[in-house]
Amino acid sequence: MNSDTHMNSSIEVGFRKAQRLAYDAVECVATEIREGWTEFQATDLVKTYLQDFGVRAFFHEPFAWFGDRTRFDGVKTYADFSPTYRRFTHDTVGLLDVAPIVNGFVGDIGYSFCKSPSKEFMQAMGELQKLRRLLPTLMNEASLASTGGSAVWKLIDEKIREDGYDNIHRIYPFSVLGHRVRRLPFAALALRSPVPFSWHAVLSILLKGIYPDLLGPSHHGSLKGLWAIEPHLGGDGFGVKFEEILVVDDKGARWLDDNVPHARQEFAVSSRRMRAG
Amino acid sequence: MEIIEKTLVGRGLKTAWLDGGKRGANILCFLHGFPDDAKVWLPLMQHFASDFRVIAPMIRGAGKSVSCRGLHRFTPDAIALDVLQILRQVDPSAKKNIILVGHDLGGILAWHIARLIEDRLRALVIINSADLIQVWRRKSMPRQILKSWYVFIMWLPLIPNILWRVAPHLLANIGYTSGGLPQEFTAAKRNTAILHQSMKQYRAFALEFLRKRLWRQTAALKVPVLAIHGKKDAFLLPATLAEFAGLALNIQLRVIDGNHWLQLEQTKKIYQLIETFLKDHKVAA
Repeated sequence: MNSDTHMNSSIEVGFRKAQRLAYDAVECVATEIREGWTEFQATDLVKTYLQDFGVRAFFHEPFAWFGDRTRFDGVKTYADFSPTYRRFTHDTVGLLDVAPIVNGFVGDIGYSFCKSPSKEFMQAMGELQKLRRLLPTLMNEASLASTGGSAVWKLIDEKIREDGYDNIHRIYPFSVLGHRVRRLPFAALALRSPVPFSWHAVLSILLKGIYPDLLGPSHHGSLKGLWAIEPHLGGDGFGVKFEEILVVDDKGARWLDDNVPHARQEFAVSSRRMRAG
Repeated sequence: MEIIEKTLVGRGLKTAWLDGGKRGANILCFLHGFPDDAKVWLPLMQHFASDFRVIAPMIRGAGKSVSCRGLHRFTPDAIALDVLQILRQVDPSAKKNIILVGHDLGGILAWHIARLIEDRLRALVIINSADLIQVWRRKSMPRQILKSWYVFIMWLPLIPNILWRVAPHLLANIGYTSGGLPQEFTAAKRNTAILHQSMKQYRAFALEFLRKRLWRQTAALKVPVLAIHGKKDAFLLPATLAEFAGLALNIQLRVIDGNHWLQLEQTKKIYQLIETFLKDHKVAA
């Protein structure tokens, strides 16, 4: 049986475990983050948490972004995504993103938090929840119609901008809304590479080809498989995202796990957000 | 006042700490070193228990803190996460102020954790210890290198493990006697299991010198720091103020006549030094 078309449940279990571990790590560290922490300190502790559970390799190393870096203001080169000495303050938004490899399964997640949540933050999280509800339907329709992921990307881009936000995932390499995740070989080898993505990530892309694996504005081809979906929107001076795995198979499209932080709590969905200026 | 050992399960492992003192008060957190467990702090904790909540985490392998294979749970970051989880258990709202007191390796941890909780930290007290950066600064001091002979042995692969198996009590006695541990404590401290686990901490800390994170710029601590050294410490030369450059802005250094385990050898004096220091800096319970 082709595991891409009908998801093997043991594969789903493996990915779910990796994803849950990654979310446990970022939730624990986000709980402890205090005023004055640098992005470096946050990523060090996320990595330590995961290593405490035996993680030796990462699809990508932890990222932490605070304040306006959560909407990638000032990010011009690939290196600018890496952690900096930017310090957390109690009224800023923070974002943690990490992708540990757990027995070959990648748990690529993104987590937004704010220690004193503002109305703007809550509204943006509500917007993300709206997208989360919408995405399985859009991916399923595109899969059945064989239109590829570009249609999904464009619809999500439209929705984000209609509601008064900036599409921040447009700034990611290849402007990806998501990327395929697969079980990786040589997972026990903690091979460092010159970029924050592991050699496993690089090899995976080289073996499968870049474009079929990236859910960007030009994606064509099959949508069946597992996708790490990461909508990222930008408000005034901050950004929010989530990242989690979406399964697309013969049964349709569904989130791998509903027990994720951004789905546990209802954020009020606002009417269309008015942008200043 | 009663001080009891409590536990929680943190990141899959049982982690223990001594806990007592005044509920609802600010927290005095004591961090022990090598090759101790948290009971090394009991006499001092009793002195402060009427005014503060007093806690003392047990490092992996000490007390009821379960140990594990490998070094990964003995790094400063891993132990810091353990301590943060204990502090969260003791003060769930994270509103209480904290004073950190560290001895020996516990002093290195205290510096590290201070940089994570600086907004709640009111003071840092270091007893016969040094930050890792200070340790690095001492690399060109021959007298310190000689005093640290045992550290180099612990960094060797296999040999320390063989030595601990063959003659654990002999080695423990050498350490305690040369360190000036008062006689009344030596019998109780011949816990060679702790020695073995504590060695992992030395190895894990040594690896920090190879990691980028140690060399990143960190802002000097603004909280007041009291550093107490025993003149006759067999393992550490007393610090000088110059060594603290870039580490803290407000340092008080006291070098007193004493050995390595000052908190046991001269409990009352150490209590008075800390109490005066806290009063001078208006650090209330």
